[in-house]
Order: sequence, then structure tokens, then C-alpha cells
Amino acid sequence: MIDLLGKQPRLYVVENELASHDPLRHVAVQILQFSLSFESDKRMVRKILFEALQERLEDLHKCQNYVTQRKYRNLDHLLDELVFEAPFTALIIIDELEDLERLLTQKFQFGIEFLEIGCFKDNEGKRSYIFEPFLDDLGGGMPRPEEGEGDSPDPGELDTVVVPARAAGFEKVFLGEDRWYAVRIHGSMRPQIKFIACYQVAPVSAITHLAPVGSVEPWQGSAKSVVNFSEPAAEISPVRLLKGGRVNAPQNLRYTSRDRLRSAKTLEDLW
Amino acid sequence: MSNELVFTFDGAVATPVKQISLADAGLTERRHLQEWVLAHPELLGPDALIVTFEFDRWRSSSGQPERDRLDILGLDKTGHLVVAELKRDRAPDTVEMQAIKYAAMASRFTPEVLALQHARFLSSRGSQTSEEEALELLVAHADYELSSETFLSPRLILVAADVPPRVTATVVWLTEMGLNITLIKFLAYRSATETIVTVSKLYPVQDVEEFTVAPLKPNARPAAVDYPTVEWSLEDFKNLRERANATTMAALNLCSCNSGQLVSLREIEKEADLERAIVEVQDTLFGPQRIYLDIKRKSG
Repeated sequence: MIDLLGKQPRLYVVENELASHDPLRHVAVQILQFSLSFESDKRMVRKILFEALQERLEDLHKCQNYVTQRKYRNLDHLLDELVFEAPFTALIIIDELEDLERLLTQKFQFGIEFLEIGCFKDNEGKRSYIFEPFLDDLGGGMPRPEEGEGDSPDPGELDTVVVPARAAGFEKVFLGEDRWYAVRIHGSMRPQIKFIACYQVAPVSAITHLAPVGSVEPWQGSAKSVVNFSEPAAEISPVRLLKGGRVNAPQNLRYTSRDRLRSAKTLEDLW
Repeated sequence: MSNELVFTFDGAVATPVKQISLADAGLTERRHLQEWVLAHPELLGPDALIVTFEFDRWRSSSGQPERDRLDILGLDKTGHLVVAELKRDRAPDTVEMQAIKYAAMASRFTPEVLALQHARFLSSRGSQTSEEEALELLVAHADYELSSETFLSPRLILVAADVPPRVTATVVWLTEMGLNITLIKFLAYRSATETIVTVSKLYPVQDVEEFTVAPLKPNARPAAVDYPTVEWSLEDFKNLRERANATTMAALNLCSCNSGQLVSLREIEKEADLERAIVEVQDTLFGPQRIYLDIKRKSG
């Protein structure tokens, strides 16, 4: 899957799986084989991509538009970037996620994303699907009708995670232990996360502190991570929640960039 | 007499109980032994489902009714039929031939006919069941798709109080030839207060099964080793690419990932369904700026 959403194009090797398959002997082995094949013969991967696009005119036009907009020399240049420059990233689409994310996240060095898609059939055989659009929570995913694509951040620019914290956790862990744990960070985002910011919930209702990230490590055998700071968190100009505004207070981890954070006055400026 | 020793205990005192025949105990094949198996199908194996019993509705190719009566017909988890022949006493020398005959006749079952008989069986036991419901029960029991092809090779189970060596030798040879036969032996004992029945597998021998049966498996499927090995050419792969649909690709994918193992049609269907679902919803799933290239047939 070719991701042309941001300034940095990305290539995902997609593995469609069933939850009934053995997570290690079947799923992990396939992912490993894909990564080895990818690394050992990148020219072949590039050739396959090129030929596939030649057969899909609509997709070819999307790539050519991207080439023009992002100032690539030509399609070859874009494909070289995708295959030779971008890190290998896998996307597993599965009917039931269950424990797979926890089992696989810790097995591989490269990024892995997971997408769950449930399929239902009614008595007449008509199918319905349930899923969340891919990387929807990055903020730059599917444009919502009322928002449009307007000012969504470019996924390639995202280098900061914003975590909501209550006063006690903020004091004890964020400031006291120089870390934040049990956070779920997308596998493909981990390499580019450089900062962590803290949104203090009401009554503060603002992002108030920022710390550089030293490492992101697995958290207690779960699919979640602990973010260790390389330096203690520093206070920044507060980025406040606008009451009655378009952006709600963060309930879970969200992504942004440090540059946006520096210039923002309210959460409306971030997302 | 069996080598098996059975005791009753009262504190430190062990009293041997006397082995008897089921006939001595006044027990019969149909009223007792058969009912035990119907009530406890695990006697036929850990995963057997009773489909019907005393089945005698056969017809010859000329349309004439046949009078043979199959004692118990079951279904195992792999979707194979289980044909059980029960003998209250010592099995006669030709019991294996009798079981083979029933297995041959049962191999002509289709899932629909099997469901019809299962519905009749359940209804006769007090649980009114339609053919559709019976089919659902059978499908739910098996891990693999029910098919007439799988029914072609039923599992045979001979249950008897004793099995003569001639039968045992024949069963061992038939196993080597690829038939799946189990011998089950039961023994009755009488203590001062009650009658006890023990049931044990006589063949394949429980603990050494892997040693005695596993090496024989290659012989059991001689056709498999005779298949010629043909290398796939680039042209073959191109042809496959043009012709393969989602189901074919799912089958190839699952088979290549599970070399030497059974892959159920249901699993292939589920994987193919998932592939179709992703293609169908790709625009919403990935958004307009992402391109999902369904090129497994090329890259695989």
C-alpha cells in the first residue's frame, strides 16, 4: 500500500490475516519472510510496484500528481524514495485483533501497524463491515465532512505525542519519574517521535510541559509502550483548550509536531 | 481371560473382582452396549458425534432395499464418518469385513442425507430437529467442510469383548494399507455389590501409537509419493496470475503456509472473504491518498 498522504511517502507491506492463524508460526513467519524478501531484492519490489501502477491508470495519476506537488523528478524518483529510502513497515489487517498486537509488536524491530476489520452477513448474504479507517487517529486521516482536509497535520511532520494526565500522575510520573507509561503508539510512528507533551486535564485544561524522548520501550509485556525522557520535562507556553471550540480535550494519546506546538495558542491550532 | 486385574478396596484390603461376560451379567448388545455408546460417544473417541444408529435404509443400484444394519454412525472433528460395529462377546473372524462393508456403504452418504438421518435420530430421542437444524449441528461439530469426498474414507471402530488374533492381524494390515481402524475392547467384572465395565483401546496401542503407525503413513498414502514433480515455469505463474481469483489465492497461500497439514475449505473461504472485504472497502479504509495494490499474485 502506497501512502501519499504526507510530505514523506510511505510503503506498507500489507498482510491480510485471520485471527484463527497461529500468531507466531503463521503470521510472524509471513511478516518476517516479507521483510527479508523486501530487503534482499528491493529492485524486484520496485519493478513490481512500477508494473502494478502501469496497469492502474487512476492510481498512476495519483502518483504523478504527487510527484508534481512534492517536487519529485518523476515517478522513478518517487518509487526509489518509497523502496530504497523509507523504512520497511508492515500492516496487518485481521478479522479479530485479540492478542496479536502484543505478541508481534515486541518481536520485530521495524514498525507494524494493525487494522481490524469485522465482516457480517445478513440472512440474504448482504455484507456489512466494521472498521476504523487506517491511522485515523493521527489527525490527518479521513477528512470529516464538517472539517475538510484544511489544516490537518502532515503525518511526516508528526514528531510529538500529546498525552492527557491528571494532576497526580503528572506530578508523580511525568515530572517525578521523567517517563510516561502504558501508551499506545503506532508502530510506524515510533521512529519519528522525538518529543512528548503533557495535556493537564481540568481545571488546567492545557498542554503545559514538553520533554525530549530518550527511548520508547515495550511496557510490561503488553502492546503498549513506556516513553522515557532524555531530559526532565520543561514548561512551555500553555496551549489551552478553547471552550465550546471545534477540538475536544484529548482523551487519549494524540500526535502533533513541536513546531506547531511552539506557535499554538489553543488546541484549535494543533488539530 | 484378560491380563487386566481389577480390585475393589476397603481401606488396606484389596479384593479382586471376577471377570464375567456381558451375557453372564444379563446384558445385551442392543439394549445395553449400544445405549452406553449412544449416551457416551466418547467411548468411540474423544471427538465423535453420534449421527444415527441401527441404520438400515440402504438401496442397491437396482433400487432394491438392502437389509444390512449399521450399528452406529458418527462424525468426527475432521469431518470423517465414524462407522462403529458393536459385538457383545468375542468378535467373529469376519467382523472386520462386516465393518468394511458398512464403511463402503456409508461412504455414499452426502451431507444432506446425513443431516436427514441425524434429524430422524435426534427426533426419535425426544429432541425434535429439522433437517436444516441437523445440518447446522453437523457442520458446527466438524472443523472442516462436510463433503461427500471426505465421507469416502470413513473411520472404522470395532467394539468387542474380545478380538481374535486373526482379526487383529487383518486390522493391522488394513491400517498399513491406509484404512483408519480402531479396536476397542471392553470387559465386565462383578464385585460383591455391582457390575463394572472397563473400556480400553486395543489398537492402535495407545502409548506406542506414534512408533507403530507413524512410519507406516507413507505406505498408507502410496499415491502421494507417486505424484510426478513438475517445476513451475514463468509461463505457469503468468497463467495462474491471470486466472486465480481470491479463493484460489487464499487456498494457495494457506497451503503454502501449512505444508503437509490439512487446510479446511471454511478457512480458505474466510480468508478469501477477508481479501474481498478489503478490496471492497479500500477507499474508506485507506482514504483517497493511499493506494492499495492487490498484487499478492505478483509478489507472492
